[in-house]
Amino acid sequence: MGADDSNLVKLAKRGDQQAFRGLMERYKRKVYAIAYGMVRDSEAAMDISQEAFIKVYRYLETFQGQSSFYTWLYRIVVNLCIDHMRKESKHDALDYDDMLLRRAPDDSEAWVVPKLLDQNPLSALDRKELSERIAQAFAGLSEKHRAVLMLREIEGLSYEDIARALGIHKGTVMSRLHHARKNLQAALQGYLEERGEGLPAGTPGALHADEGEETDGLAADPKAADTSGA
Amino acid sequence: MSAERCDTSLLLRHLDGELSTRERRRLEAHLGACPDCRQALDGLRLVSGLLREKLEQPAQAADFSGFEERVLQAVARSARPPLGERLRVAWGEWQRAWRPVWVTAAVTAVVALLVLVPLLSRGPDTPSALPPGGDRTASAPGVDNQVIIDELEYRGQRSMIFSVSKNNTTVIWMYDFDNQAGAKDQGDDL
Repeated sequence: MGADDSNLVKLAKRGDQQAFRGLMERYKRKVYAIAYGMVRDSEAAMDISQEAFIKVYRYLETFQGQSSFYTWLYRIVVNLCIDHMRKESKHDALDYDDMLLRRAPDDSEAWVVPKLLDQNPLSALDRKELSERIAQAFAGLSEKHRAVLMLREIEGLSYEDIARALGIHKGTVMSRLHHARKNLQAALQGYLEERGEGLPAGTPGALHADEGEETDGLAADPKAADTSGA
Repeated sequence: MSAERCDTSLLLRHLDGELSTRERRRLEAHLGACPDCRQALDGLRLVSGLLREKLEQPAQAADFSGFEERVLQAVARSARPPLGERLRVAWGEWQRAWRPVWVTAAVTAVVALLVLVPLLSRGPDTPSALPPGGDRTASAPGVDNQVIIDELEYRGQRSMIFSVSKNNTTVIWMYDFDNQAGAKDQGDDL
């Protein structure tokens, strides 16, 4: 837990509403991002965000402090989202194994981006379309896989923190991330292969009229670079 | 790693900043010599970046005006949870916080019993317990019965390895942590 979180939690436990307000201000957008990523509905995501902080307030005295405040908070949010989805019964996730069997055979080739990407940098239009494909693939993941991916990609939590937040083992976090990403990667693979169809052999520039635009599509992920020394 | 085969899980852990310094050096050496892995990493970064952009947009666009006031009004209106409920949640939180310690301790104790009890009941000089060609006078009692325990963990599975020097036996016990985690998922208190 960050030093500031620790102090705010301590004060909020004593009933200091300003401290509790500080925690809400700090985490409300993150909480909403998780909720929205899970339930895909802005109104429900806002309700869940509020409900999460109401629960935090009510049960703050039970928070043990062995883990970070935010891992505890995110666990509450994910559980509320899962409860919501089960009540609504709107969620129709593909089992990841089922999806993998159809989209990406379990071999190392599935992870390799076609060379098209080297030869034809993504245009702004391509990025938008690919982004939609990836969002669709994300929405098709099971709730468990989306939760793990959200906490990793949006909140930047370590495997250890994700494990604590979701009450699962670290190995399970790695396994779920692996399969979730494999599905997203299959979306990229499928998209690039579709775009590559009809491309005459030996004409690497023919894919996009505005080739050269948005060449930073493969720029290194700053978060990964920042934390890779861990 | 440059001479080693490609390892996707290493790339994923690199993407997440979860490699040790040694592992990172190995991977960097491999990436220098492996265009396939460089491409795979580029693809992972591309997808990760696009997904993050996509998922962050709704939170940036959402209207949070009056959010804190609504939450505070709701908590002021509602009654405090009853003592029994708070104790139940507190107990669940306590168990969760200490679970890794007691699970490991319990597993170790059970396995130690399973291995040690049969060995001790067999006695120090049981001929069948000796390895082929083994010298039964070479080892002192107690040293023969030494049990070396190791524990490995990979993708939700744990393995415990016991090497029993007395009868040259190696026991590998694998168990799936997912099952325990799944049970926990169902019984969450909050």
